[in-house]
Amino acid sequence: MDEINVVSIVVGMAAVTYIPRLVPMLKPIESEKWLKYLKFVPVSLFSALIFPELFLNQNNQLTTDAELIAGFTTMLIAWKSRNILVTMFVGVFTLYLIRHVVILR
Amino acid sequence: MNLIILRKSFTDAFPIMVGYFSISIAFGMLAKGFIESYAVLMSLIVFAGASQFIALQLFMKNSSGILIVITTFVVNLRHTLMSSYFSPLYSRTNVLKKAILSFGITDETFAIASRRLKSEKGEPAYHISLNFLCYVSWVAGTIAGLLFGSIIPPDLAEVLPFTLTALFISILVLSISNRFDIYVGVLAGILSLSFSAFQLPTGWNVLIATVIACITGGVTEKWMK
Repeated sequence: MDEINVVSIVVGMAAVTYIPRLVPMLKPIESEKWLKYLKFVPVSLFSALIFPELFLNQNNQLTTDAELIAGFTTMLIAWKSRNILVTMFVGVFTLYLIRHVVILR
Repeated sequence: MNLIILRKSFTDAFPIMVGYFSISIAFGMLAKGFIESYAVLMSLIVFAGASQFIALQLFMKNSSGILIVITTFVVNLRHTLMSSYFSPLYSRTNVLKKAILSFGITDETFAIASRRLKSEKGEPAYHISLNFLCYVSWVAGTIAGLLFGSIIPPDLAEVLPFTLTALFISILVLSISNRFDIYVGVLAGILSLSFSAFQLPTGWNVLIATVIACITGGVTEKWMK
């Protein structure tokens, strides 16, 4: 990917990120209808991101591997600790242990 | 701005600053070898953690530019909720201040500022200062990650991308507030997994699964409860 392309993508990202932050500040969203869908964005989005990462291998086939075990451990830690930093640290450390101490790929 | 406001915003911002700095170090490290210093540009003008990590992942998989921008838009659309929440508090504030303030709205600054400003009127100076401190640590962490990423040992670097998954898992777990949220989340996850298994291009599986799950959630919530 050439440099101008990367810059234009990043600028595009900046624009589409800033607009949803700015517009409602200047003119509040009145419609309840819109909000009732929007509130599901976090749970839907992050599940949609995580599931393929945990359950699929590089070739998009179902597997149970180190990442799946580490993923469930991470979920449990997040639930108990309610702390993003602690969860990230322990989650990555768990995967490291599984791969390099238990030796599971 | 006076010293009291600065101190108050610093006290409130500090935990976020620590968090942002560590996470953006990971971001800078991961960007090394892919988009390099453009990661700093991204942190400077986008300033939205989750979407930056997702974009980075898409860059790594050579996704199209339009897909990266659309995905970023969908991921960051949730900020409209937070911005709408603050809007009435700042009805008397001038447009320039509102424009600066809204740039710094993130999940974390929202969490802190909404708690602080619940019973009070909007405080533009406090709020801008809070956002700015978090912004500075985000950009600084990105630069640090790019500069010092190479001194990380390879077996540690190998598990580093899991930082993203762990971050997403944390945000997911923290955004679940009732049983219905879990249903919607599982639906989105299974859809995304299926789309991916059927070889839909990376990114689109996430986007389409999210949109379907949100619509399904919004439509069925009324009679599920």
